[in-house]
Amino acid sequence: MLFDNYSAESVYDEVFDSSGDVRSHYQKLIKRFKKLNPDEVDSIQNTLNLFFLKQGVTFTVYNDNQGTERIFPFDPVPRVIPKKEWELLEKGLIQRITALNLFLKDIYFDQKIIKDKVIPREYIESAAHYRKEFQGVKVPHDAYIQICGSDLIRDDQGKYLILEDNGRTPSGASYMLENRAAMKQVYPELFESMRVRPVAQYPKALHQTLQSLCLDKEKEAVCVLLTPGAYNSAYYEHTFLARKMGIPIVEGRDLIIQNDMVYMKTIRGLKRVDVIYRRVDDDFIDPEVFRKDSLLGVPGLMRAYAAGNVALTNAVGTGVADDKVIYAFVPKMIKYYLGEEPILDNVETYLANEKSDLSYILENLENLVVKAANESGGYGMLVGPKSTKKEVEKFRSLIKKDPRNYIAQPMISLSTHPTYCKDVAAPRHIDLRPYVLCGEEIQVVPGGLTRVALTEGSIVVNSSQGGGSKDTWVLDY
Amino acid sequence: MLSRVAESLVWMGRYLERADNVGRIVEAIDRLTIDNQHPELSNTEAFWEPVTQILAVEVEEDLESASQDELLDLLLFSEENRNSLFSCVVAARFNARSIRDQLMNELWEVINDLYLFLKESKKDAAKRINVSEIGSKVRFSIHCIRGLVESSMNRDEGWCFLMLGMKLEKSDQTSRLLDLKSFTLSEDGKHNEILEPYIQLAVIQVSGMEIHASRNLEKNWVLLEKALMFDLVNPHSIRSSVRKVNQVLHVLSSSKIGVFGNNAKKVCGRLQADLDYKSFDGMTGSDLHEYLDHIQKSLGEVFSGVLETYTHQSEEVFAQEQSQ
Repeated sequence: MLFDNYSAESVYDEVFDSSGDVRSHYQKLIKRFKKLNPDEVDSIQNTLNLFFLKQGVTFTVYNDNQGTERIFPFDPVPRVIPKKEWELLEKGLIQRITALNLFLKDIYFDQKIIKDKVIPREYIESAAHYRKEFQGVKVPHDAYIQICGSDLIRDDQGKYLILEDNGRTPSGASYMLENRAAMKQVYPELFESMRVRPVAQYPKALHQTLQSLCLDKEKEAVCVLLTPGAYNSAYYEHTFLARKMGIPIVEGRDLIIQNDMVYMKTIRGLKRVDVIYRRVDDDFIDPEVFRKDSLLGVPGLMRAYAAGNVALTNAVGTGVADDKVIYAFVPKMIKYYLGEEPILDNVETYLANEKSDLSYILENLENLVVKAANESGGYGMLVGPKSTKKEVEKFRSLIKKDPRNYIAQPMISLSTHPTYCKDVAAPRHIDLRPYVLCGEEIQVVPGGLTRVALTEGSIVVNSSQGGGSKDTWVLDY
Repeated sequence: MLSRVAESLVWMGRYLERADNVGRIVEAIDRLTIDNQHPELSNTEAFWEPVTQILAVEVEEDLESASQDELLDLLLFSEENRNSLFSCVVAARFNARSIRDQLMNELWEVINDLYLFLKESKKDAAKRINVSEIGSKVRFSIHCIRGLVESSMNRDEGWCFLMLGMKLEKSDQTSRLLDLKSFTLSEDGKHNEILEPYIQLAVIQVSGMEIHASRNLEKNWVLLEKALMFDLVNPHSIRSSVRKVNQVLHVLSSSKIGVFGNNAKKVCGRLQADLDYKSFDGMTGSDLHEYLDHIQKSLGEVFSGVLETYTHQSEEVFAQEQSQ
């Protein structure tokens, strides 16, 4: 019933292959779903929605002045990844984070990759989040990115590609955990029969990662989570993770720097802090060094950080790797630092700042996806084939004015997945955000957040622009 | 425990108890006004105006012209009225959200559930306000929260601050309730004979003393006052609440009863002694109002004392207490 009129068109569909048959790793799931009628699925959807509403699993939207809390729409049809596919992704992600951390260590110290002319100096130095104040500042274990969310998509041949890296404050891990908890309530028998790998170990693994950053091994590291506060869009996630890890959640005003050491203000006086999982961006983290008007940070925190008296996750300055222009060089980084071919490829990327690329971009603007180098949330983006002439021309002048900050990519038709829309399952585009933890060892959580663009035909999956999510099941076989 | 968290717990406790009280008063008065057949006084003059005074509602316009629904909206849902039922629950929820990692999940769920219910009711308010449905929901939610705190919360610092907030607010609200008489009955005693039984009934219903009908509280104002102010058997009497506050303060500072390390404990100790040793024959009129005023002031001092000791410490004090 649900799948009667399902047609995946000319893209790669996760569930149905080109002949319309169900792929082997989905068979048990689809068999179960085929038995359901829309009323039953509605009931499941209601149970799920109620779960999130009661828990207050929300994010805040700012486009109406009230800062409304919304439930992140959650689809009841999970995405399934078989073991072999996952092993490839895991290897590829570990390779990538290793190269990224080597890159960050290099550019903040010896800059060999620049001297060997693999990446032009001006791209690094003009990167919006390059923090030259931290040139030469050592970080524990030379690990800059401890928590990374590299987004993956599939092209129309079913090949996995890395869409972008998020090495500053990637979010969504709490939704991954809450999604799983909700799904367990509605499909308990499927979990057992399909041997889905658990994700519940994430908070513990994250806590261990944080603790590993404290260089003083004599004591138990005091870790805190620094949040911008209850009005931040991802606030629910901050409280959720802090609670699951058993660490205090603090705001800037709860911390104070004395003698270049970090303390939190407790009712019994000051308590020393060793590691801060900061969900506050570099720009706002210390009014002494970065934005002077920031009320979210801690004056003097960078002094404590530079002196090695406190560790930050992720380190200051990782944003240079998030820059979409720098993204284009990651395959080269993998070859340069590791001497290996990338296991997971980038999406083909053209840099507006390179003359030959620029002419190609301007000639083919209506067919390309253009992105600003440092925007996120799906903003500052042009999807050529789906835009009006006016929008295309607007981007043409933006690119010409500031070529350094624009890249273009061919429009990839992301893979689709059956998604429950108004009584039937319909194909919607999805991506995948796995979570990679880099502590004393690198761990990748089996699964992650599958985001789905709920609007038909849309490839923008971000929550702030009408996206939703699905649970992601990595199988044991 | 972070100072900010301690402060949020105190405020959360206060707003929850305040919400309960507002709900109960509105529910009781709403019922009474149905029976009001006073030849001269309107419901607004007789009841709602005094209620806005004891609930510290800042009213801009003259209430005379307001309809029953407008008054209910003001007291229950108005976002401009900081002490409306909805505003109190929003504030409690905001504080709960800020310290979510410290609270039991069920506690959050009950507060969130109440908030979502009121949000829905607020939307329907233009059509009709079902006071008894709302009142019932509030009462049972707060009972549930009190139960959760009593039975499942560890008796640690978090519990102490929550208790302080709840008990200080409860005693304050009980004193305001008793003061309803002062605002309703006029100096010249013109309508007092007719209004007095109503007020007594309201006080009995709001304070949950209905089950003690056998004690004839309705006829005897002195007994009622005694029960609500001094009776140790009644867990909600001002004396019981103040005793609890005193105990908690000593637990927090781990000192013996009678030893005063901070201002909050000093004022609270004195207030408790006052309540313990007062010989009470029944106060009326301005004497009662003055006494209740004194209680409220003391409670306010205890509250600022708590904030000062545990949350508003200056940077110098922190520097001195710095530990590595």
